Amino acid sequence: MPTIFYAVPLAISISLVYCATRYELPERIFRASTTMFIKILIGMAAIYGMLTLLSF
Amino acid sequence: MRDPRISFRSRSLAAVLAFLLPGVGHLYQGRRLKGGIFAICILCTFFAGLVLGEGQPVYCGVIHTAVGGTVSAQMNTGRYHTERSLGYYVQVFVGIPALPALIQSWRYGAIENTPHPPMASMIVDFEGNVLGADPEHRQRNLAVKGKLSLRPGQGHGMTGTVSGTTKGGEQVSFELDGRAILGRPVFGSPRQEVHCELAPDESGFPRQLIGTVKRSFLDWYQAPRDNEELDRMHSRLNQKFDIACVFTWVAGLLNIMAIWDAYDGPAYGYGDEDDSKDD
Repeated sequence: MPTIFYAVPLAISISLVYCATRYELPERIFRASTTMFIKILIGMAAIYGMLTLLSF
Repeated sequence: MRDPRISFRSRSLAAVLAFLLPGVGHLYQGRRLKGGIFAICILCTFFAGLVLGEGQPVYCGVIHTAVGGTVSAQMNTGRYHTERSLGYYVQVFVGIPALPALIQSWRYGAIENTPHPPMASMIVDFEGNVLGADPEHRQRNLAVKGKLSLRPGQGHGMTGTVSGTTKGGEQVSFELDGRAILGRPVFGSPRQEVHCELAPDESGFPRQLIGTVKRSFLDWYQAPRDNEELDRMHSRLNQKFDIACVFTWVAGLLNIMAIWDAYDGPAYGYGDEDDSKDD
């Protein structure tokens, strides 16, 4: 498995725990953590893409 | 300001419980969902790191021997100093799962944790090298993997055999005769170093056996290790070892936030506030 995929469970864990420490309501926690998880993935994909381009 | 709808019970006790085991402080307060989220996410992240790194990413000290050179920390009987692992300062916030490292550090420093001759007969799996010389007096190094059988001989000596196969698949067997030394019992490596004197070869040249045998889990798990052992881990696991360390560090950092949440409640509020104030 490519090492980059290890970031996915880590991102899930970080976004869930981070958002659970921000709010108390379950639906708010899950909504905010889903948004955060997507933002992390997009951010990482952008950096990955940039680094891939720069490596050519 | 803390939300009155949240039952904190004893906030200090909840924070201590949250430190000892992620999620337990919240369960004590009756905040079951958050307790479950913290317990599952933080413990899974920590143990996933441990599994990825073959149980090795958590340790609180790196041993540097004063002698240096070819003597490893396992076989060194002289002075040493311990450099604290910076990563452990965050790993320790996972609580009980990371606390064995402190016990192992104390055990490593105990007087009885020194290289020693085997106290009783033993038959163990062995990996290592037979060092000797060929008829032209050139040093010869033969890698052997097999069984090492040791039993106390006369005086401080040991007798026994090492038998196994070489890298080329050849079956070999050597008689032991002389001193045998096992490395420190407590050390952060699953392999314990062993040095034995072998019976001289047909030409009378002395031979030596240098290798490793299995160390019990309780003696290596989270114990201090030297840079040589860390290099071995890096060369075997490559990037996986670094990723494993990151997993355990992140778990510790996440639990700091969880401990604070148990003590002081959620940072942004209950969650039913106006959405426009969202992060």
